[in-house]
Amino acid sequence: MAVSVSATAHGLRVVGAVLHGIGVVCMLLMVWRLFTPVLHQRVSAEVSASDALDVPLATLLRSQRDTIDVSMVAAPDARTRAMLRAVRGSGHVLRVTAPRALRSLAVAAEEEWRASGGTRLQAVSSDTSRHAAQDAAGLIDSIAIDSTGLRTRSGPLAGTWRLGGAAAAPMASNAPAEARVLVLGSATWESRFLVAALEEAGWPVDIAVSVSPRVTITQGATRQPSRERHAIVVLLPGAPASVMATLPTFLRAGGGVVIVGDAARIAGVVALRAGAPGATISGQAGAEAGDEPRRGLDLVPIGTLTAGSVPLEFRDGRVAVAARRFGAGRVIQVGYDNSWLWRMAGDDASPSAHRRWWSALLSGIVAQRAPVSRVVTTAETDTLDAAPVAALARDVGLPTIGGSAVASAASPSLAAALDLRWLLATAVLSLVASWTLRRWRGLA
Amino acid sequence: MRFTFATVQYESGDWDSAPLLAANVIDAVARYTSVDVAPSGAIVPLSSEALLRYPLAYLTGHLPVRFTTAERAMLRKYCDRGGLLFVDDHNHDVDGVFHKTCTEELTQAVGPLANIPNSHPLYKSFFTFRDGPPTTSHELNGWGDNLVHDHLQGIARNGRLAVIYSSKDYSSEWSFHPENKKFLSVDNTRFGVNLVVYALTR
Repeated sequence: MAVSVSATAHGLRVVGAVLHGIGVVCMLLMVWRLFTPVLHQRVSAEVSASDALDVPLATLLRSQRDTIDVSMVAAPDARTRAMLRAVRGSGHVLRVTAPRALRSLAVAAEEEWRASGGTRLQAVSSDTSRHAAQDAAGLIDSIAIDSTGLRTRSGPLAGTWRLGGAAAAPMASNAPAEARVLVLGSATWESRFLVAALEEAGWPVDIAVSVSPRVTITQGATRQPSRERHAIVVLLPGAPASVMATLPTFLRAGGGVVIVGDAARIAGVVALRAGAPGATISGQAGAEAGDEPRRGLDLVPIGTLTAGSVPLEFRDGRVAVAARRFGAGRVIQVGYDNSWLWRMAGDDASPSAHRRWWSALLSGIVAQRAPVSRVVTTAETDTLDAAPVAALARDVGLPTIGGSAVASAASPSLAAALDLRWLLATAVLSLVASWTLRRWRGLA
Repeated sequence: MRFTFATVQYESGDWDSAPLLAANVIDAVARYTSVDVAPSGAIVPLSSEALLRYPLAYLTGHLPVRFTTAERAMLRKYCDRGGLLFVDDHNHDVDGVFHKTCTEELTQAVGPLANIPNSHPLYKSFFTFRDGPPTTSHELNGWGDNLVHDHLQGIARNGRLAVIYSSKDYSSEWSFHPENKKFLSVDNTRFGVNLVVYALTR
C-alpha cells in the first residue's frame, strides 16, 4: 500500500513537473516571439495573359497572410490594377514579380481638327511587334510598331481604339464644338484665296478684312477673337492692332494663331511670333507650277527663332514655317505671303494641294496641343489602358524581373507559426494545473 | 503683292475699246480704299498663263467675239481656279453682236449665265447700291433707247462668282480721264470699287 501511495505521488509529481515545464516553455516562447521579427506569410496570385488575376479579390483581402505575391506574365488591365491597389491599401505587403520583362505598349488617340473630322493615332512599343488595331466597329488593320513609334491618321473612330493590349479613346478638348477660323487682315488676294481654300476644305470661317480705314468687310458675328467661337485666328498683314491684346489670353486658353508673312511685323505680334521676319525674298518665277511650287512664292523668312520655336519648313536654308507653344495653345508662323499664286498659277493639282497644305497647317495647330479634358462617357472608357505598363508602374510599381512568387510562398517561419494567444492560454492552463497538483499533494 | 487691274486681250473683236477705263477704276480704288493698288493696269492675253496672276480681269468690246481653243481652255481654267472675269458689253446690247457671241462663248467655256439678284453682296461690298447695278448715262439717254438692264448676269463656281456679265456699258461710262471726275456731282465709277472689293473679299 505504501508502495502504491508512493507510486501515485511520484506520478503526480512528474505530471506537475511536466505541466510546470510546459507553462515555462510557453512563457519563454511568448517572450521570444514578442522580440523576434516575423517572417511574412505569403499568398500567391498570378496575372495571366488575359490581363486578369486568377484569384478573386475577396479572397486576397480576407487573407490572414501578410504578404501577397503576384506573378504576372502580362501587364494587368485597369480593373486588375485597381484590385492590386486595394490589396496594398488593405495593409498587405504586395510583391510583384514577372518571369520576363513585360512588353511595353502605349497608344494615344486624339480628335483631329480637320474640317472633315478624323483621329490622330500614336503608338510606341518597347520592341518591334505587330498588333491588331480595332475600334468598336471591328478590325481596322494590323500595325507594326517599334520603339521609334508610329503616328498615323484615320477617319472618325467608333468608340475606343484598341491596339494589342492597349486602348485609348479620342481625347477631346475644351475647344468650341466646331473649329471655326477667324481671318483678320487687309483685303488682298492672299486673304481672298486663303479664305476660299479653307471654306472649300470645309472650315467654317469668320472674316474681318479691312478695305479702307473706315470700312471692314466682315463675315460672321464678331471681329474679335473669342475662345467660345473660334479655334484659330489667322493674322494677315493689316490685321488690326486692337485685337492683339486679346491674343495671349486666346492662346493660353488653347486657341491657335497663324501669323502670315509681314503680319509678323505688327507690334502686338512680336511677343507671340516664332521668330523675327527678315526681308522679303521674291519667289522664283514660274516655280509655282513646278515640283516645288512654294519656291515660286514670295517669302518673308523667319530669322532668329524665339526660344522654344521649332522650324517646320525650310527654303534654301531659311526657315519658311515655324511653330511654338504659347500657354495651352500654339502659334504657327508662315513666311509665304502670296500662296494664292500657287493655287492660281500652279499645275493642275495646285488648287487641291494649296487647300490641303493650309488645312493641314490649321489642323496641326489645334489638334496637337495637349488635351485639357477627357470625355469619359461609359464604363468601358473608364477603364481604358493607353499605356498599361506605365500605369502599372504608377499604381503598384514595376515587377521584379525573374522572381517567382510561387517558390517564395512555400517557406513559412517558426515565429509566424506561433500564435501568442495559444501560447498564453497553454502557459496559464499548464501553470494553474501544476499549482493545483502541488496543492493536492499537500505542498505549498 | 499689290492689286493690279488687268484688261483681257483676245484675238477676235476689239478688246481695247475702252482704253481709259483701267486708269479710272484704279483711280477710284486708290481714292476710296486702302487697297494696295498698282498705279498702272496690265494687259494680259486671254490664252496666256499670265492671266492666272490676275485674279480679277476685265473684258470688253463692240465686235463679235470668238475665242480660240486656247483662250477658251484658259478661261475655263481661270474660273475653276478662282479667278473673276468682269465682262462688259461696250454696245450695251444695242445691236446684240457682242452680247450674242460673247454670251455664247462664256456659256461654252464656263457655263450658263444667270441673273445676279439685286440683293447680292456685290452691291454692298463697299458702296451700297440698293437697286442693284447702277444705271449708266448710255442706258438712259446716250443712245436714246432707254434700254435699261435691271440685272447683271453671272456664272458661279464653288459658290463664288466666276464671271460677271454686264450689258450696261460701263466701258463707255467709265472710259474718261480720271481728272474729269471733278466735274461729276456723284462719281460714277464707284461701282468699279465694289467690283474690286468684292473680288478681293469673296
